[in-house]
Amino acid sequence: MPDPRDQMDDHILVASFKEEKTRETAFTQLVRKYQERLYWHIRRMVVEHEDTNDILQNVFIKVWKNLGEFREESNLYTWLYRIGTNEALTWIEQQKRRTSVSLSDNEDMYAERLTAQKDFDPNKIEWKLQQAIHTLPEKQKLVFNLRYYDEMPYEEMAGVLGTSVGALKASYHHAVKKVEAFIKGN
Amino acid sequence: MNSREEISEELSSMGSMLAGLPRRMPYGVPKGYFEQFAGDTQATIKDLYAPEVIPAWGKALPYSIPAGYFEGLNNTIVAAIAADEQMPELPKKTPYITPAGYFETLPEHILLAAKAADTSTKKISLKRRNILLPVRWAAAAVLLITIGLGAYMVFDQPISTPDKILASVPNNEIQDYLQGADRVDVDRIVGNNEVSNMQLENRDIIEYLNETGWD
Repeated sequence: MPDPRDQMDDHILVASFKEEKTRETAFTQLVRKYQERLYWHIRRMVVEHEDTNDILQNVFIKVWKNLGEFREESNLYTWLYRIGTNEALTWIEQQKRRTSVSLSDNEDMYAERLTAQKDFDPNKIEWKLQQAIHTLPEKQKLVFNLRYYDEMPYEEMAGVLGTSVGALKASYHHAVKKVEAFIKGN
Repeated sequence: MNSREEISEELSSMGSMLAGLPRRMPYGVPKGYFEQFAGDTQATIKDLYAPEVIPAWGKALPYSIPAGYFEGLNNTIVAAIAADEQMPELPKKTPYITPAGYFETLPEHILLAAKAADTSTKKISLKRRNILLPVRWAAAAVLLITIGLGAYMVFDQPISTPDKILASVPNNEIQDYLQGADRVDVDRIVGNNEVSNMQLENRDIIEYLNETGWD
């Protein structure tokens, strides 16, 4: 969760970006500040580094293009996560359409991507946890990742995903149960 | 309580084993990736949004046009449009010819014919021409079928050919039949006053004859 100091920094970053003279410096600072958080948010969804890199670049290109019109009605952190989430989901949808994958093929697609990762070891709990997460539907996967890994408050998640806090709590609860069941069954 | 503790407590309250699991990601990232990423993205954006540079190749075309082409173009187009709008005068006269004085005497002829027809049974000739021919053929067909079926039933053997059957019927019988059929038909048509009720005028009759022929 971003602390108030961060939000103040973000406000200054946005204001600096809107100034022609300080635009590039502000943007570089913004990328450095959020690149890792967004990288991991995307990578947990798409698994491969190269795909993550492409999506992350697109995210920041969109930020460059639209930050000038950002009105700060939500905080920058939520706005960036929303762009990252949309880009990742769009990319996943494109992959599915390209390969015409069914629901079970979808799991296979992620299983293949996971096993192709360097140092993949199905006996290690962290890999098993990733396998379990990729059996979840995409939206539930997002909820689980944002809560479990990004430690995002439900109110912030509601802003990113456009869903009510109650629905998010229920979704997270179901996701946890499914992940547990997978780990215990494998 | 920070977020991490809060989330662990939430998982514990669910009785989940995930509460005690490490949250590190097992994926590897290329060395120096995050150090370079901001610079790489900045370079990509510069490429994407750099002002368009127009090569200094010049814009002159190597093609040539006839001298004074554009000066005279307007007049050329106007002349072409005017020429298009002038339709050639097509002859409206048909190549067909009619006998000398045909149209002058035609009403009299028609009138005479109509009067003559009015006083005789030939009044129905307009319809009769069209009606009698199919009736004759239909009657002949019925006759042939009847004879054929009768012969088949009597002799219980395949009939040779329709020609042979027809040959076996005497000519005078066929003529009698056809004349009788005509008469019946004429009587029916005259009887129902169909034609006389039409109240045809000379102009209608001429028009009809023009369309169908005068024979």
